Amino acid sequence: MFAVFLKDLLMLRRDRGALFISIIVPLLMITTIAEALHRSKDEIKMRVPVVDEDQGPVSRTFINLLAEHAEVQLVTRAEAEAIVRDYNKAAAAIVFPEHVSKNYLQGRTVEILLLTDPARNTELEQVKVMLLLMDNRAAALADPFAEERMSLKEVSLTGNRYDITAFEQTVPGYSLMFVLLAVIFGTAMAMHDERGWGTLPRLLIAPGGFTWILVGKLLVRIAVGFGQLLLLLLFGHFAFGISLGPSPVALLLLALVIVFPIVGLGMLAAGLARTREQTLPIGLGFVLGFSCLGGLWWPPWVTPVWMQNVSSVVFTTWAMQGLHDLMLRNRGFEALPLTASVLVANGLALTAVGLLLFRVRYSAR
Amino acid sequence: MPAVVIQNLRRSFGAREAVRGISLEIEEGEIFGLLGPNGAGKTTTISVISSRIRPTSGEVWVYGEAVTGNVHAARRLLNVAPQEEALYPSLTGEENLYFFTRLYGVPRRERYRRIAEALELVQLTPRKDDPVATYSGGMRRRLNLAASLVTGPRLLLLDEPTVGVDPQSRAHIFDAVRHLRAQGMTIVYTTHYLEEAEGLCERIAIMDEGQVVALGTLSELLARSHANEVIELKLSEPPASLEAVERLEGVLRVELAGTELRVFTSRAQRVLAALCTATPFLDQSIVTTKVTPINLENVFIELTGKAMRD
Repeated sequence: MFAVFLKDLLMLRRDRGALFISIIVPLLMITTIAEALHRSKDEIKMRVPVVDEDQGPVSRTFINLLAEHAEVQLVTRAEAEAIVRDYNKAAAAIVFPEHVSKNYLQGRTVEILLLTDPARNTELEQVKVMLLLMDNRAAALADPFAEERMSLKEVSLTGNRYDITAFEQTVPGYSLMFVLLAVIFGTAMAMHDERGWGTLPRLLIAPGGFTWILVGKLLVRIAVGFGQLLLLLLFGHFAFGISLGPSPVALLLLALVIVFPIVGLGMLAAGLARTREQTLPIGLGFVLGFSCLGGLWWPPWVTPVWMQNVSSVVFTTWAMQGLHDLMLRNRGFEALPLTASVLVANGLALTAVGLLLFRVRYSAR
Repeated sequence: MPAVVIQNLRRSFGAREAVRGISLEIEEGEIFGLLGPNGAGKTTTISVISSRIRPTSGEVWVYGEAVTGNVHAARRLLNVAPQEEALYPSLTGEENLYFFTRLYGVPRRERYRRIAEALELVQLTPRKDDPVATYSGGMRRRLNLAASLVTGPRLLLLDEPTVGVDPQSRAHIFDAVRHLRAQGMTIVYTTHYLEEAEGLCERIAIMDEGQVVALGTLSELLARSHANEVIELKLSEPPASLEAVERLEGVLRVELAGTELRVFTSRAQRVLAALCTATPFLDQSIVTTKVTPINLENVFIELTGKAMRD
C-alpha cells in the first residue's frame, strides 16, 4: 500500500504542469466566483434608461431619487427602446410622459410607462421595486399625508409575454452548463485517447492531412453536444413547461451554433493540456469560468461592472442571450444573425487556436 | 525506380542526434532490414520515411515523391505498423480495418475484399467480429499489421513487429511478411533480433548510434568478416591478459566480455588446440567451449565493438 502511495505521489510530482494547473485553476475560480458575488455599494447600481418627455419638476425629482439607486441614463424614447429591445443592455426603460408634473401637482394620478424586457425578469422586478420606493419618497416630499399617485403601465418590447417562470430562468443556463461539461471533456479526452491507444501516429501519417482528421473528430462532438442540448431543453419543455420559442427551426440552428464554440473550447483544452491529467483542471476551469462569466448561474447585472464588461465578450453570454431571445422573448429567425455570427466567430477562433496548439504538439515535427 | 532513397539524413532531438547522415537506397519489392540495438536510430529513420517526423537535414524520397515536399502523395504510397499497437480497443477487428480503409480512401467496392484478405493473411478471420479489447497481445500485433496492409501500400514499414509476441504469432507475422514480399510489396523491417534479419531480409543495414555501419546482403555482410568461425569460451575467471591469445597463429580478433571470450578465426580446430597448449592459464579456467560459424551477431560485434543486447 505504502509503495503504491509513494509511486503515485512520485508520478504526480513528475507531471508538474498538472499539479500547477490543479492548484492555479481552483484559486482562479474561487477568486472569480467570490468577486462575482461580492457586490460593493458603488457597483450595485443597475442601468436604467429614462425618457423625460415631461421635463417638469416632478419628473426631475423622480429622476434624482432614482439616481440614488440606479445608474440613470437620460435618452430619447427611440434610444430607450433600442437599449432594451435591440441591445439588451437594460431590463426596462422608464418613460415620464408629457404633463406628468402638471397632473401630479394637481393631485391627479399619473401614469408612468415602463418599457420592459420580461426575459430579464429578476432585473425587472428590481426596477419595479425602485419605482415603488421612488413613488413613496416623492409623495412624502410633496405631501406626507398624500396617497400614492403613480400608476405603472408596463409594455413589453421584446415579446408578448409578461410572466417568466423560475424554470425558464434556470433551465437554459444549467442545460448549457452541462453541455459545456460533457462537450469540453468529451472533446479534450477524445484527443488524448488517440494518443493512449497508440493510434495517433497512424492518423498523423494518413493522407489528407491531420487537420481534417481532427475536424472529423470535432464534428462528432458537435453532434453529441447538439443532441444533448436539445434533449435537455425538450426535457425542460415537457417536465417544467418552459417555452421553446415560436420557431423550432430557429432553435435547432441556434443549438447548433451554440455547440460549435463549446467544441472549440474543448479543442483548446486538448491543445493546452500536455497530459490527459491536465485536461481535468483546464477543462473544469473552462466550464466554471464560462458558466460564471456567461450568466449561466446568475444574471450578469449582479456581478461587478468589470465582470459585466468581460461577460459581454464571452460566447456563453451570447448563447444565453440567443436562448432567451427565442424562448423568453418569443423571437424567431430575426434574433439569430448577430448572435449566430458571434457564436460562429468564437467557434472558429477557439477551434483554430486549439487545432494549432494540438498540431504543433503532435504533428510532424 | 528505387522504392526509397535516403540522402544524408540527419535528425536531432534537442542536443541529441538520433540519426547522423544516413544515405541508402531500398529497391522495389525487397525486404530491407534495419538492424541495430535499441536507440540505434531505426525508429527515427522509419518515422522520417513515413513523414511522421521531419528530418533536420537531408531528404527522403518514396517512389520519387519527397516526403518533405509532396507529403500527401508519399503518404498514399506507404503505411507503417508502429512498434506500439495502434488500434481502437472497443471496435471489432473488422471495424478497425474498415476505418483505416476509409481513412486512406480505399474505394467502397474494394474495402471488404481487402479487409477479408488482410484478416486471412494474419489468420484472424474467426475473430474479426470480436472487440479488439478481447484479443491477446499477439493477436493485436497481427491485427496491427493487417491495419497497415489493408490500405494497399506499395511500401510497408514494419517497426519491430515481433517485440513481445508469442512464438505462434511471430510465425504468423513471418509468414505474412513473406507472402507480401511474394506479391511484390516493398518492406522495410526494423528489428534488433538478428535471426529475424537473417531469416527474412534480402538486404540489411546495420545501424549503430545513428549511422549505418554496414549495408549489404547477408552473405556480403558475413564476408566483411575475415573470420569464418568463432570460438566461444566461457571461463571461470577473466584472464589477466589476452596478449598470448592474440599472438597465436590463425587468430584474427579476440574479444572479452566479462568471462566470455570470443576468438575470431578461419581455422578453429587448430586455434582451439593451440589455445589449450600454449595458454595453460586459460586452459585451466575454461568452463564451456563452443565453435560456431560466423553469423550476423559476430559481424555486428566486429563492426560496432558491442553486443546487440547493449
